[in-house]
Amino acid sequence: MSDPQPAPGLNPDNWVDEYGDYLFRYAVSRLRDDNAAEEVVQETFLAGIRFQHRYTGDGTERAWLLGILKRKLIDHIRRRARYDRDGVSDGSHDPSEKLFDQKGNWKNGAFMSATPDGQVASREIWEVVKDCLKRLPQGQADVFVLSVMEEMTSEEICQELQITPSNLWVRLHRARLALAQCVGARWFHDQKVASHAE
Amino acid sequence: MPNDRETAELISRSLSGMLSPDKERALQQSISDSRRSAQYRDWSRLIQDSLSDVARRIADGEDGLAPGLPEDARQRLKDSVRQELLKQSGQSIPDAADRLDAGVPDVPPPGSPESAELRQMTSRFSILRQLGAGPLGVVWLARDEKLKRTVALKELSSEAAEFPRAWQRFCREAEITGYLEHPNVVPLYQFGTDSESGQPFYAMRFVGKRTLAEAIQDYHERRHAGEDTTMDLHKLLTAFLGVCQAVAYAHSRGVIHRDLKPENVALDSFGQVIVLDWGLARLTEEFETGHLLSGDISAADSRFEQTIAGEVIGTPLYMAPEQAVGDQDRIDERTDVYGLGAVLFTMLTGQAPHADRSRDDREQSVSVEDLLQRIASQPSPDPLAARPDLPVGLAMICQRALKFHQHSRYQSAAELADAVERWMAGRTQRRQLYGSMQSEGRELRTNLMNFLRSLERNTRFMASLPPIQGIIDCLVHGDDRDDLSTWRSRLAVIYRGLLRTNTDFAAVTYCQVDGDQYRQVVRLERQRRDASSVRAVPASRLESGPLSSCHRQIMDGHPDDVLTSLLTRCASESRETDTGLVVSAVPVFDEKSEDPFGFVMIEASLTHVVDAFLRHRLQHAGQAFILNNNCEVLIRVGRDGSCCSDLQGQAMGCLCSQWPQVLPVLRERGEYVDDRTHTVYATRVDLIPGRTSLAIVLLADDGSAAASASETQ
Repeated sequence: MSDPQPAPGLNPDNWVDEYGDYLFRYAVSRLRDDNAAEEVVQETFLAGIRFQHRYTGDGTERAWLLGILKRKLIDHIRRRARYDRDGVSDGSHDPSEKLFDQKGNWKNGAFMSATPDGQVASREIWEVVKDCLKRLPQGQADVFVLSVMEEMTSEEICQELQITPSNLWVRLHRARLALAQCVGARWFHDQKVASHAE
Repeated sequence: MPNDRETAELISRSLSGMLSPDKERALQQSISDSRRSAQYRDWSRLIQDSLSDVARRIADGEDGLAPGLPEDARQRLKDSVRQELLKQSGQSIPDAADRLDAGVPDVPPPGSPESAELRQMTSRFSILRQLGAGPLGVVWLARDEKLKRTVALKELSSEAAEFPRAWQRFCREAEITGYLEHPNVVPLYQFGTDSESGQPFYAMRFVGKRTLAEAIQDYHERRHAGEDTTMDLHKLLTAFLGVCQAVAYAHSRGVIHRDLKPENVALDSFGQVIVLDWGLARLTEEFETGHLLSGDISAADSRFEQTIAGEVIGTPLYMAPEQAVGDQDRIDERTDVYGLGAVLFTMLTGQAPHADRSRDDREQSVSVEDLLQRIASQPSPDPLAARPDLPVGLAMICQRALKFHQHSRYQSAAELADAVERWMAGRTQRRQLYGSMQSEGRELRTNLMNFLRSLERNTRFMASLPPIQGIIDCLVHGDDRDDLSTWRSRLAVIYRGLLRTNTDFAAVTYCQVDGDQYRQVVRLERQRRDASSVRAVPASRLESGPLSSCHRQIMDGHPDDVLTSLLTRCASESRETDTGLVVSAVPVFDEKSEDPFGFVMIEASLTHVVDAFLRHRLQHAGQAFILNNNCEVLIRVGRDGSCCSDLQGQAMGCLCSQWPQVLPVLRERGEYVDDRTHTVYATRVDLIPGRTSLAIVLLADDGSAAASASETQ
């Protein structure tokens, strides 16, 4: 019989109000999809309730829930990758063709602008990157996020997503290329608009 | 030298930390030769660094980098959490039930096939209409499409659903209701969650909308209108016993209701009593430590507690002192005994026990806090103070159940039920005896009426005989005096026959009236010492004298107008008369002149009639009295067979205490039925309607008093 009483230090009744926003922000920053984020947060809470007896009380309630959320994020990414595997392998999603000519040299207009001079707020870059990530194939964006934002190693990503290291490398490289092109172009465009506005 | 594509790949590898130091140096060289490669490296690095930074900030809880939870998503998440908590609560039931061998509704563990089926159950019920709503739940009348029956379906109200503890309380209510299998606890058919809203619900037998509160109100409305019967209170008390039995059973299962009040008792169309609303119930420590049920209902969400407080504003009116002070440790079965006493108090008086305390001196409502303070500090309410005419025995039972100190109350609901049952049984026996006494009284009244009608008929007949006019002819019209003797003899023969035939008749007299004087012409009377002997009064002993008011009244009448009265009123003042005699007289007119001549009067013995009737029938009444208008006892008959007819004034010293209540009722309705003590029965026989009457009063054996007369004039 499972223990119906909340574990010491856990208060599931308050989870949504206390940690709903936090976990949702975390999830949506990784998944780029509100619905998907809500789903994994829900799964997190439900798993937390079911396995609250496993909470030892060593860490904070938020950290414990975040640990569950991270697992749920990977589960979700793996699940949706299963249905998007074809899309990832689609050659049309390789940005190299747009950036390099047949000799392998950068095409004209590959990058519209140089990186901003001096310190630029991460928040500003993030706003642009968010949009560009959404334009990427899920399979590329996901591995990039897991690598950069979740700081997972290549081995971990390959193991979790059941992909080969070469596949991971291809995805990551394509993601970097596409993001650089997209963010560069968007930044150039935004700067141009901003200067016109001034 | 790598081309730009290859350089870009190296940049990517470098950013991923996958490049050896040698290749890093070569890469730097390549980048220095390619502006675009440098741009790619710079943008990629900037993107990577920014994302890492943002990721850390979000992990640290910074809230401006991503949107928070949309409100609708928040609500959905709350629902999911509640639903999961519900499942977790339900999961413990079967185990606990098994351990205690209890019947618990089939709530399968989450994730089981049964659970999935359970979610589909809502489609089984079609909502018909709302039956009621409280702060905790909404009750619907629904149709069970599967079993083709009407059920009551209770679901958590949307307001309460805001508070997770309300979920637990709701589920707890369902669990306890299902746990208690008793004819007076509503049977639970199904306990599950709505597949759409995710909110918990349970289906139970539809027991109708009528509550004990409405039945009590109906009873007291009839009582105030004077339309109540003894059965009304009996039915309420029978329902009360049902409530006691349900509570006693719950106590045996370790459950204390804590919110007993008439509104929480349903009465179905067939008189079945159902105790509802176990939402505030708690388990006794013995059972609580055994983890009988899931959840914790004592630690309520503070906000929900306010909602509960809103719900139970009426409840303090029935609350025990230990509840009023919030002393949870002292709450036990005797707290429910107090609640039962409060229900009984409401039944008997028509108001909640603390209703008077809920208003101040200016009849303004006091605050709940003040009311609770009063309950906790003032003596227990007295039902007799609220309704002095209550049966004392029942009031005492109620008072004991409402004792301030728990140790002074009945120690269990069963003990209280037993006391009420004993009172009802005694009352039933007494009521049956009283019913028989009532019948005796009514039968005696009928006999007296028949006797009087017979007396009147005979009086008319005796005044219409040929010798009556023959005597008038002799005395008024100068017929032969010898004929007078003949006529008198012939009349005496007839009158003798009358008295011999009717043993209740004491005398029959033919009188002549001349001016203010009367003179007996013929009189036959029964001997006092030998009732079988009838004698004709010799002419020398015939009486004459001044007319009494009764005589004048007779002579004022028209032919065949019969006046029936007590002999004491019609006898001459000088004559000593038997108080147990009644007279019937009719005026006699001269057929020739059509002038009034005199009257014929029959005296009859009421004592004889009453004695003859009651001697062998006075089984249930201890004593019977016949009284006149002046509250004088004319006749008294005891069960021992004693029958006195000359008790004038002697019984007045033992006037019954109820007489002030009896007299006006008897005067107005002609009958007094003692619903309260079942001691006195009285009925009235009119001799001269509106002027002279007899009262028949029967007293039960232990009647502490005699009766008095009906002053109906």
